[in-house]
Order: sequence, then C-alpha cells, then structure tokens
Amino acid sequence: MAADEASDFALLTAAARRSITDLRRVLQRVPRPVGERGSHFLAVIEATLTALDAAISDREKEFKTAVDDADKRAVVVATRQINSYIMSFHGVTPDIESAAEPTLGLGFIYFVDQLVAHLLKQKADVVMLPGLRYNYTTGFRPFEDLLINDLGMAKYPVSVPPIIVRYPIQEADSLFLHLIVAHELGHHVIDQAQLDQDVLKRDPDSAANAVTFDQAVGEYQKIHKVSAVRARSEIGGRLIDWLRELICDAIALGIIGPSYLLTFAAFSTPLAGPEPGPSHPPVMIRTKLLINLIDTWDWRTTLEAQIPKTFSWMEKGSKRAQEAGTKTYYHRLEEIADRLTETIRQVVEGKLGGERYTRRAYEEQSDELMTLLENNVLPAQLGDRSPSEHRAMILAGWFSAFSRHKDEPAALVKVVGDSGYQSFLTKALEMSALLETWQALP
Amino acid sequence: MIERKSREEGALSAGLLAEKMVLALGRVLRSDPLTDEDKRVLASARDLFETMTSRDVLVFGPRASRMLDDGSYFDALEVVEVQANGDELEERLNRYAELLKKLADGHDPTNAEQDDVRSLRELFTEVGETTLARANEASRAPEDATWRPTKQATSLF
Repeated sequence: MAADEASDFALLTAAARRSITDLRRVLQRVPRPVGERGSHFLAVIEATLTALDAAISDREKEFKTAVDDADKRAVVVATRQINSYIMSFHGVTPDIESAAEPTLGLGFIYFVDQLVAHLLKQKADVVMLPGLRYNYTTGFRPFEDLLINDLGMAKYPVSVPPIIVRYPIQEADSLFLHLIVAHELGHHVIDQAQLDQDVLKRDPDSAANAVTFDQAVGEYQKIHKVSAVRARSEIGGRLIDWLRELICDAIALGIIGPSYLLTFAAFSTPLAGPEPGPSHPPVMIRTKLLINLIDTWDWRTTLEAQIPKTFSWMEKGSKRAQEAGTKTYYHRLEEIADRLTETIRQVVEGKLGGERYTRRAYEEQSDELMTLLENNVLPAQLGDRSPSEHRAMILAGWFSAFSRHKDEPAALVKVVGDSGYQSFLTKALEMSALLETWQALP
Repeated sequence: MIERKSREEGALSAGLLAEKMVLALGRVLRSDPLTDEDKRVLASARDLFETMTSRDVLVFGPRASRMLDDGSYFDALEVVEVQANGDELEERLNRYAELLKKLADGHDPTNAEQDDVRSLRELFTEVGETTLARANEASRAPEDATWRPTKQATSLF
C-alpha cells in the first residue's frame, strides 16, 4: 500500500514538472528584449513557473516526512491542487506569444500609458491582449497574491509591474469602447488607496445604512433560507462590489470626462438593463450616479448643446425603477448606494485632485478640434503647433461622430461600429503623443 | 468588479492553506514544536473565522487581507455549517477563532480543547478536498475558453 501511495505521488509530481517544462519552452521561443513592452509580464510568468516548481519540491519533502494518514492525504490533495493549477496555466500560452506584439493602435496604447500615470502614479508594462469573451478586463500585478502569500516569494519579481488589458477580440478598432479601461484602472486605484473603505468610513448616514443593511441581510436569509452568517457574507460582498463599481464609474468620468458616459451607454445598454446582479448594480443605478456627477462637475450644458436627444434618453433611463424580482434585498442596496452618492463624489474628487478633467480644459481646445474633425483633418496638432490634449480629442471625436451619424441613441452603435473614423482618431492620438515626446526632448 | 484571485488561483490558495492547517494541527495534537509558518497559518485561519462572524461590512472590503477568494470562502463556510448541523454556528466559529489564537500563541490544548483541534483538522481536510473538487469542475467547464489574466487583482467590467 505504501509503495502504491509513493508511486501515485511520483506520478503527480512528474505530470506537474512536465507541464512546467512545456511552458518554459514556449517562453524561451519568445524574444524578450530587456525593458521592452511585455518583457516584465513575461518575467512574471517565468517567476511563477519557478515558484510552482519549488512548491512541488516542497510537497515531495512533506510527503517523505508525513507522520499519519491525515498528513499524507493533505499533501496529496495539495499536490493535485498545484497540478490542477498548472494545467489551467496552459491557457497563458497564446498570451506569452503575443505579449510583445501590440495588437491595438499605438495611439490607444499611449493613451492607456497616460491614464496609468494619471491614476496609479507609476510606470507600468501595459500589455493589450484580445479576449474571447465580450468584456474588458484588466489585471494589475498578475500573480502577486499567489507568489507572495501562497508560494512564499519574498517580493514581486519585477519593478515595473504589468497591467494586462484584455478587450473583445472583434473590437480591436473600437477606440470609443476601449475607454472602458478608465473604469477598469479605477479598480486598481481603489485597491491602492482603499477608496471603498474611505467611502464607508465617511458615510454621513451610517446609522440609517446599518439599519438598511440589516434589513437586506434579513431578507436574504428569509428568501434563500440560509444561516445569518452566510446571509451577512453574501450581502456584505454584494454591497462592497456594487460600491466599487460606482466608485470606478466616478473615477472614469472624473478622469476622461463625458466621453466615459457615452462609452458606458454604448457598451452597457445593449448588454444589461434594470436587473441587478451580485457583482454589478443595474445600469440605471450606474447611469443615475453618472448623471448626478455630470451635473456636479458642470458638464450638462456641453452635453445638452452637442447631443440633446441622446443625453435626454440617458436621463430618462437613469430614472427607471430597478427590477429585482423576488430578490428584494437589492432595493436595500440601492437605498444605501443613493445615500452614499455624495460621499463617493467627495472621495473621488479628493483622490483625483487636479487630474480631474474639466469643462474649462475641454473648451480651451474644443472649437479648434471640432473644426479639424469636420474637415477630416487629423486633430493631432493645434494652430499654435502644440499637441492636442488627448481627452479633448476623444470628446470632440465623440461629438463629431454624432454629427455624422445623427443625435439619437441608436447612433451610439453606429459610432462604435465606424472603425475607419476610430482608426483616424487613434492615429491622431499617436501623432499627438509623438509630438509631445518630440517637444519634450532637450 | 475586482477579483483578487482568479477561480483557479483561489482554489490553489485554499488548497495550500488547508494542507498547511492539517499539518500544523497534527503537530499540535502530537505536541511537536510549531514552526513560524505554522503560527502564521493558524493566524490566517483565525482571521477567516473572525471574518465569518463579523458584523462589520468593512471586513468584506480589504480582500487583500482575505486569504481566500469568494468561492473558497463559501466552501469553507459550508463545511463549518455542515459540522454545526443547523445550530450554534456562530458559537462554533467564535470558539474556533479563540482556540486558534491560543494555539498560535503557543498554548498547549487542554483535553477538552483537543476535540476541537481534531474537528478543525477534519474541517480543513474537507476544505482541501472540496476546493480540489471545485477546481476540477472548473477545469471541465465548457465556457473556460480563455485564460483570464490573474494577479494581485483582476477587474471585470
């Protein structure tokens, strides 16, 4: 029996090592010039493989010194778990191969570099990869928790952390949709600065919100027939997740202005309605917050002047009722979110400070940019030879696109489907970034 | 939405925590000396039970300090719920948290406490097996066509 156990265990470790060797071979095939885009991401993958290899060696030592059956069983289960993880890691193969080859227009990549600098105040290795799901995701400091907390690595293996941005594979040219990245980066800002904690700590209605929270827990417990402990965890998790989404929307609107509202409407409205989910508030609650911030941050006149019909449609949508069905506890979460709106604004304003994009900054360039766009001239440079500001270029780009496709909600689809126009704008972003770099040279 | 751990990473973390807990509690039962790593793991498990009984919404926020992803957290809670069999769940969680604190501080369990140490060891054996089963199911899921960039944090729109 003991010999069988040892043989079974040896098979597990051999399988894990074979996978690690296969993945290392893929890494070795990819050229990795030091400091180039993607190289830091690949260095993290290599470090993760090394740490997994070491974890297998650790299990081999533990198996030899296991004292009783429970010890031995635990080591075998953990080794299977490592094996299972390494097998799932095979999915990284196409990303290794495309990490060093940007698949999106350079103009957008430079724009993301700039957003990262504004929001995270650091340099990062921004890697853009196509994904098979119709969604945007970002991964900041990939594998950090695993490496440090679970696999015992003393520190993160690279000093320039990777940010992996994944976009829907069919949307490579959809600059206007890619702006969702501003929201995604917001999640990492929350993480860095614990903005969600800040909002809850500064909650001026904490007593009322505590009562509403307890009501939500009670309703969850009754509807799902679970323990109070589980109901509290479920509701607490939902509240924090909703809160983070709302803070990210506020960050994105704050950093890129109304372009985010339009991107949000174009991306979210076809996919989600007034139905809530455990991780995301329904679209109408998010739109309600965004419209509130449009007013507070003084953008209403711009939107009413440029796209009155589309903006009015968004406002009407924000006033719809949430449709939670039997899950009444989501109405309690909406009550809490409504009470926290002003605090969210204050916390995000405090975090963004002078980085927040303002109507005044836009209007300094908007007339000139609109004229260039109306005449199909690349809006990369202004009359005084200075480079155009990227956020102004994108917002003017949105408005100019509406004038081409008509001011109506359905035009959102036509605008994001106009890949020629978005490639033109992306080229303008690239040229403007180049000009900026050129002019900054000593 | 932000995920501090992908489903696969979360299952691996839970599996490793469960294994370390079984080994550490074995040493407690045999009165073998605990390593620093054992004490760290006992403290992590105590945090887990304290989170389950907390009435403070803030504990669901800083997931940086939570060693488990949501799936593994609820796996662990389910195992305790089954052990408690419908009654005294919070009391049991509080008792476990208190005991783990004492063990991490080097306390030798009394005879009465040894029963709870054995229950905890069984609990973590089951947590390891449950999370492994979930990881295996996930690897067979047809929708798993893509590898998600995992991280310290992944955000999903």
